[in-house]
Amino acid sequence: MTKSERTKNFIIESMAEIFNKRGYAGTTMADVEIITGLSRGGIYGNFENKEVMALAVFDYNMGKLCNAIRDAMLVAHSYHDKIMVYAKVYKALYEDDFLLGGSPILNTATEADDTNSVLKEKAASASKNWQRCMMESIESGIESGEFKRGINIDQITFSILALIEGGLMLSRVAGDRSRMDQIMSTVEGMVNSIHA
Amino acid sequence: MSKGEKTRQCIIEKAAPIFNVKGIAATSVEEVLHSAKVTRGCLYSHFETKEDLAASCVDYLLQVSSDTQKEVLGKQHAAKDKLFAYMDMAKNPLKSLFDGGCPIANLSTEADDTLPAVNKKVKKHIEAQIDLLTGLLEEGIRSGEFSADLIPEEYATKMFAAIEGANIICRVKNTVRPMQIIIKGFKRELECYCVNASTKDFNSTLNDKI
Repeated sequence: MTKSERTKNFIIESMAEIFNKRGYAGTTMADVEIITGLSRGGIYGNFENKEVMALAVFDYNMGKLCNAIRDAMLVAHSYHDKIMVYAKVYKALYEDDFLLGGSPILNTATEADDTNSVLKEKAASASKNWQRCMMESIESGIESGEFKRGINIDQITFSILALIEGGLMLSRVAGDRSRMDQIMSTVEGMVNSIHA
Repeated sequence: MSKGEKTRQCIIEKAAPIFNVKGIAATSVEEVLHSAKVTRGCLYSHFETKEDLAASCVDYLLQVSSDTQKEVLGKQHAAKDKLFAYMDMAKNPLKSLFDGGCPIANLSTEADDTLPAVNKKVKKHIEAQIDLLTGLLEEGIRSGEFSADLIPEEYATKMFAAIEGANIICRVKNTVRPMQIIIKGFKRELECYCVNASTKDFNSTLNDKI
């Protein structure tokens, strides 16, 4: 890794939490200077502008989230467990386990839906990717005989995704873990209901 | 309403949609001044700070949402119809009451880590929404419209969470499909708990005979 790559990574890692918590608009270049201890010139030497930095930080945060999902998938043996991985990772987001400030998809989606099309596109493609993965897990579960045939895959996928996004939002605002637990058991019940 | 109160209200009504679209952090006082056509001195004579203005705008957004909801639900009599009307209000996330989409989703994701005063207001509003839905479901059970197998608080929480979640998913993807699928699912589920009127009549006739 070259020195400039190292500096770039250092900026991304230092800013990951702040961007996720305060949002793109809520984070100023002055914040970046204070947090990284770098001069404005040093920062602009690595990122053309704040938007380019925000995109890199979003990718970094999403990478952390995807790694957490990948790790959990390795130990999930049934398709039931694979689908529950998403819910469990969202619960971990409530607990601030591996990423501070909640879900980058949720945070970015609500901030960028009307204001920043590049960020919005990134959040949308992350969300679509999850949707595809979950649908594939359900399909494979049907083929393997774990899940019933003839179930409405779209219905189950969107319900689970909406429940975990909305559930995380709800519990973070309320600061109430029991809401997240309640949503988790709803999702679990939903997955149980499609068992063959 | 005095002239001062009118001006204050006008500033709130102009600023609230801007805050809802852009978020509180991203909205500058200049934009509000421009949109409300008032001077900086005038704005600051009504609001001490931007945060103070934002707090009043949050109250306004949530109040208008509740009022509209009350009006729509008030037109229905049966608990099931009220709940269906609630869901129908959310059915198009791309065309919502305010520009910028559902204020609850916008405000809560921004406020959870950064704005404790706003967070408190949104939290209170969300709790009131879940209480409202729980209340409607309980009322429906009491009146015999729904079966007692329905667990009101559980159904209310998941319905609220899923609608908010679907809202966010739809807006970021520019589609209404996930929301429509979810609403259909919740309606179907609620219908399963509906005590069929004719069966009820049949049972009561049966009981009369016995």
